[in-house]
Amino acid sequence: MKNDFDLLALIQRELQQIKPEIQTITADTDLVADLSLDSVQVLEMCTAIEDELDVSIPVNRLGDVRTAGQLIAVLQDITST
Amino acid sequence: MQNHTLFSKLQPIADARQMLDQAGIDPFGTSMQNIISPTEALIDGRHTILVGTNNYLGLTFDQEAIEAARTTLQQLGTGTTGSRMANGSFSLHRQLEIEFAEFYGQRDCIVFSTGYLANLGVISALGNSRDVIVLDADCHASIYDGCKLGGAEVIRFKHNNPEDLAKRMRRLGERASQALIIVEGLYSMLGDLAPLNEIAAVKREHGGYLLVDEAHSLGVYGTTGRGVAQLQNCEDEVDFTVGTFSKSLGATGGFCVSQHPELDLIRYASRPYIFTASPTPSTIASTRVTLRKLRDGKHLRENLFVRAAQLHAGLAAIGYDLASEVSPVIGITIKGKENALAFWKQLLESGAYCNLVLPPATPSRNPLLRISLSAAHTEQQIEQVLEIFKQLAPMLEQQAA
Repeated sequence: MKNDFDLLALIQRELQQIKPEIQTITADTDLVADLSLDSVQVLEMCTAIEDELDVSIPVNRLGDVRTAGQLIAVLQDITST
Repeated sequence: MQNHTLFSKLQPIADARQMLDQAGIDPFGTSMQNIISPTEALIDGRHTILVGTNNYLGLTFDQEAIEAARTTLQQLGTGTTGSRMANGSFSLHRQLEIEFAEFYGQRDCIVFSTGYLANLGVISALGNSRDVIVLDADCHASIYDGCKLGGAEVIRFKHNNPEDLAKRMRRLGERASQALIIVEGLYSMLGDLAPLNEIAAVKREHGGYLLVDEAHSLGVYGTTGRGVAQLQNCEDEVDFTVGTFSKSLGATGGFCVSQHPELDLIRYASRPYIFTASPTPSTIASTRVTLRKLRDGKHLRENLFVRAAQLHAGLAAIGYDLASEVSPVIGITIKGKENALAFWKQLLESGAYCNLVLPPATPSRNPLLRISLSAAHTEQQIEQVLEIFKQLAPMLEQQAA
């Protein structure tokens, strides 16, 4: 299991693959409002993270996710079960 | 949050509407003043060729279907005024279910009031929060909404990608054996077909059940028009087939057929079946006729594909960016929302109607012009449409430059 810092680094790495201009993100970074990601880019990012961690993120768990920190919480929950 | 109101959620739509109003274009509010034939209408006072109505077999003006609807309207009235579960099941609703089950060679069928409700009604009745639905990412909104209503865990796999599906099924471990895999036969935006044999192979390896939505492929593919599973010769692998009356059958309504005896129980667990009025008797009557014509409509399917090939080849020759191989749905990708809106408006003013689809309703981040063919199109009509596209091609070339 990865810790929160590893996951934040992973999210940042995958985001930079999609949008190279993205710099450092924090747990409070809003993925849509702050980074202007569209729905296709969010899906691309999630798929890359899923493959990296070998998990599937249920669509119904993504509905309330706005920030990187919230995504990390979902990933921790999925990987712990 | 102090500026939040009940209507805040609608603000992005208001902004988008304002942009359309300023441009004087409303692609989502086209009003057909008169329908002249399955392929022609009067729009803004102009005689327009319809290449965006999903009227694949052109049966909306079938005289026998109209006569059956008219007779039934006289005999049974304008509506059922009730749910299938209460007073809204007439013997002809059940008769149509029996005919659908026979047509598909399946054990039973449930008829719903619309295709949207068929997906909602079947998917929401299967599984609960312990179960998993694994669906193609490009599935229709009715499939996503059915998942939401049912409460199962929902996992997407990459569009038409059996390897990604296999990966997702493997990750589920033992839960995969009871998972519900959902795909469409013909995808309605780009006109591409699902690789059902490869998807069925994943099901054989990992377990689970397969639901195929043949909404756009019913009547279009397969020797008797049962859809893509019939075309690809893998109907035995499909657990549930869902479809609609609103495209090739020329009416409104939906259905699900299955070999599973549990299908009948879905009636009692399906809120979209229980809590809505049943289809009007005249609709059922016309659908019984068009279902028979669909089954026997080899000549209609042949004509549909001749016209599809004619339009596809013509558009490709002009240089349009087509989204898939020849099918009765042709998607043209256009870069930029403003370009797409202006182009669509010019098409309509030149006498051709097709659908304009804007992100996020499109599979990519580009707008899409969505054309659908009909068996009722004539060679001359397609030539006319091609001539319009030829004349307007410079609009997109200038924009690309």
